[in-house]
Amino acid sequence: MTTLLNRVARPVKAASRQAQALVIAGALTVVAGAPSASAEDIKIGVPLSLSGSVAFAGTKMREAMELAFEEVNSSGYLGANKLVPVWADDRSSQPQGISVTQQLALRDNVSAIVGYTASNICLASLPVAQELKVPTLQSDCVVPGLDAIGNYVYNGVRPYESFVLELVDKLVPAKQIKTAAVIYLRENPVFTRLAPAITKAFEKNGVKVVATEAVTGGGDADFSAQLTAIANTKPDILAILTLGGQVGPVMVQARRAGMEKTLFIGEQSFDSADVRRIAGPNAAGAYYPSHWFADSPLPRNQAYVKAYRAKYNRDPDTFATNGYNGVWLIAQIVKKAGSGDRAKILAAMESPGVYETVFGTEGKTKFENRMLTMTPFFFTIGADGKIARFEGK
Amino acid sequence: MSLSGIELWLRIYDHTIATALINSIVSLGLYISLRAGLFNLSVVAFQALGAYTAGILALRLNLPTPLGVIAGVAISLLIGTVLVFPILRLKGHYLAIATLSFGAIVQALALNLDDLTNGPGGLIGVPKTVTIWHLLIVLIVALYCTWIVQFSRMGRAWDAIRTDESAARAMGINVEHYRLIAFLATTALSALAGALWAHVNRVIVPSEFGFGQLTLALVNTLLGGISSPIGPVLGAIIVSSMPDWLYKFEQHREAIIGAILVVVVIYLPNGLVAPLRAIKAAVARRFRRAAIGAAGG
Amino acid sequence: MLLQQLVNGIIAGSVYALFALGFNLVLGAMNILNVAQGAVFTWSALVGFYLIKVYGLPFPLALLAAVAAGGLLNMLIEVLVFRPLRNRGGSAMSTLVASIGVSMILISAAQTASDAQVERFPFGTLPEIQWSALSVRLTFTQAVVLVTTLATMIGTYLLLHRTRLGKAIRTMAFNERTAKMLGIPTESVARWTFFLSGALGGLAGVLLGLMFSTVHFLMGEPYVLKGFAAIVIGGFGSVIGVIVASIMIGLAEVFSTVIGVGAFRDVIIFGMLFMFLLFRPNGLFGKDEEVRP
Repeated sequence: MTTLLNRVARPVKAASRQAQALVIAGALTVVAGAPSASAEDIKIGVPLSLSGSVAFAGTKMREAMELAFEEVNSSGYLGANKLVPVWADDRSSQPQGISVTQQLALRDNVSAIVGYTASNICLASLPVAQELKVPTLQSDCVVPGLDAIGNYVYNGVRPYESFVLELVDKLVPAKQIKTAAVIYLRENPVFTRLAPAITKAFEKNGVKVVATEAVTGGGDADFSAQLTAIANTKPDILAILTLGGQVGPVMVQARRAGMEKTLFIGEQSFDSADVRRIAGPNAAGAYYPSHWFADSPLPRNQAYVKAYRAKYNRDPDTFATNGYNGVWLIAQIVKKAGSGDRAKILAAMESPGVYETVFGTEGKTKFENRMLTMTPFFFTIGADGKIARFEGK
Repeated sequence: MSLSGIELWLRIYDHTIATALINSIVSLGLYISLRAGLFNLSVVAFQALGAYTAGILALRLNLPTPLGVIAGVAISLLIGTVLVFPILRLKGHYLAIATLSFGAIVQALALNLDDLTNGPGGLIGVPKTVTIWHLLIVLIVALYCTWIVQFSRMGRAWDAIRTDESAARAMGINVEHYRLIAFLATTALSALAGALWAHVNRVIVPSEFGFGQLTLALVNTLLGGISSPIGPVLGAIIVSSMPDWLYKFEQHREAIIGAILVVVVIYLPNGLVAPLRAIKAAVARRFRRAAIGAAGG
Repeated sequence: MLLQQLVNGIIAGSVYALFALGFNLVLGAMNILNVAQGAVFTWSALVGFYLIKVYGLPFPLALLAAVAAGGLLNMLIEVLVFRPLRNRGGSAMSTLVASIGVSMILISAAQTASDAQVERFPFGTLPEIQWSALSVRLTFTQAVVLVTTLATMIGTYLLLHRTRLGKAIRTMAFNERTAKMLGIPTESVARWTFFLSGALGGLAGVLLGLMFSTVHFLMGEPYVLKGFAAIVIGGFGSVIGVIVASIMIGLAEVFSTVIGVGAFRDVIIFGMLFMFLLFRPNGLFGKDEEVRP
């Protein structure tokens, strides 16, 4: 319906988008499922945090997912079948996450669910989806343990741990790092898990971890006490494991506290224009892994970024891309299943297969233990604030 | 609606209803303190204590749910009893700040005592053994008790203390005694709601026991009004069912709740129950008049 | 390092003090615990940020405008919310609840206005100079914060004790009915009290945003509870007490990190607050107010 209205309103734009969608669909090499005899509207539940504390991420996901649904439907990728999104807002709250999952599964009778924004909502809601036997692909939560929820729950993203550890293995010999320190956000399970993991990785590489400090979240921006304590130990590298909004201020205050030459290492939260804007020249010497970046050369990604820019007049971010990728993953699964039947979709998810994504250096990937595999990119930020690929030298 | 239709409806809205019922119990707890003139902001703290106690006992010791729930209430009452004497020596803003900072301490401990609470990751996989029927029964019993107490000597004492403390004292009311009971009743109901919540939500994380939850309890209670125990329950149900008709304004939800708070406090100090009562009285008057008119004719 | 941590603690504490002074002023004179002070703090920082970033105003002008904006916003809250509430005989509880409501509205508006982005004052808003002596580093920005805070504290003290407005405010703090009988225009004094309080909050907001490279819609949040702590520990209505208590809180936070229990800093601060309330509710410097029944 939305697509139809858009077409009437903006015929030129819609046509070009359709052309792009065809390019993307044409590039897909998934084993084609048996095309269904009659046209079917396949309802896909899309729970997201559209309001509340993580709405900044959820709203970005929704935009890119709308684009992906349009592409799937207008390109005729599923033949006569169409994906019909049923949007739901969990208000960044756990109980609401459980409530909307129940409503999507029982009231709206969706064939599958794709979405969820925040890790704590995934933790509460995914067991409910499992219990109600709805094939579910969460596409933004990176807290460990989601692969163990049950056979109905798949993960379209994966925890950063393995990426960060890989980066440590590369970085330590390349930069002859001897000592390291860790500063992490205490209130977020992603970071409380990552802090000991990266400590182990440093130690495995013969690096001495000389200081570990916790910071609190919310509006707190004064990290001077922690950074003074860390600066006193003169580490070669500082792991900054906080949310994006805090990374910039930590970098600035770290340099001010006397860590002028210390390298920084972090995860996905380093990858934002905000961090570079807030830290400015202080971000020089920062390293991070990422499963995606806007200039990734994969043709599929180039087409996506172009379409997103055309529709929203700005660059997509990681949240948007995670959502976009989730919709195309579910489209490929539904195509394999050939119908909106939950059992068939589950069988399609369970059968081994290669999927096209915009993620990683390869794009093509598969599920392992119900979790998408991918090979990350590594980046470094230069003194001029520009990002460059880091190849381990 | 057919019977199976009702059954399906109950399954679809299971968690929504459960949330509304839990919020009703908490609001009823807060109501008792406010009724006694105590600005007691510790409801969320005791909710957290109840939830964590029940959750930890269920997960670590595999204790049956009723035992865990009772333990949650008992531990909260124990802590409440230790705190109640010093806290009740304070009044007004001081009591509010003291109970608020108790809440901040409980939340910070839940976040940092990893061995016990699993820190920010929270307790996961608490068995879902509590149904909306259990909650409904608990709410009805609590509502009934509050109703009875309200019209008893204790209820009248609470009203007297709230209206004018020194006058109440002059009338020979044992102010300390009645305030202590109100505080502990609030503690018990909040902890009970929290312990049940652990077995409804399955996941307990520290972030769900912050200032936002407290604001929600205040909104529920004040929107309904503190003139009748029905008030907070009504308030909780209205606020919990708000999302559907507020959907378009979701991004401004916080602002809307804030505006409701301001408007209610200034213009409806007795909550929604007051205008409802006025309407009911007006209707009753008209009926009486009509009846008299009919009898006269 | 200990010396540096001492400096860190004093600087953090002096920003708390600016914030808490405004809090304390309204609480003392009006008996209102204005939670919305945190949102006023945030909005002033946002106004200062936009004036510099978008309109290219020089820093001193932008600071002045942001401080005035904080004052006016707080005055507006008094006129639109607290005065009607007083006229209707609202209790201490209802004023606190109303201020929570106002705070939610303002923070939500700040979230919309800033698109939930974290911003910073542009590089070079103040010269990027850093001095270093005796292993202590002090940036120009930090020095500005210290000097401004000190000047403001002295200014506030003088205003309260040497001017007619100050006298009127203190009389109202003593007893509003007495103030009325003495012919003090209480409504207008109330408005100016709120203005002053908002201006202090606004000053704290801009300085903090500048010093920690952050302007964010949630930046006022941690300050509200710490402001409560400073008032209680310092003593109801005492300017000196609040300043001493704020710096104590700043130091306690920093030294919790030094001794390795940084994760528990909130437990320590609120534990301190709690202990004071229970055992010394009049605080360090408070007069023997009637806080107990």
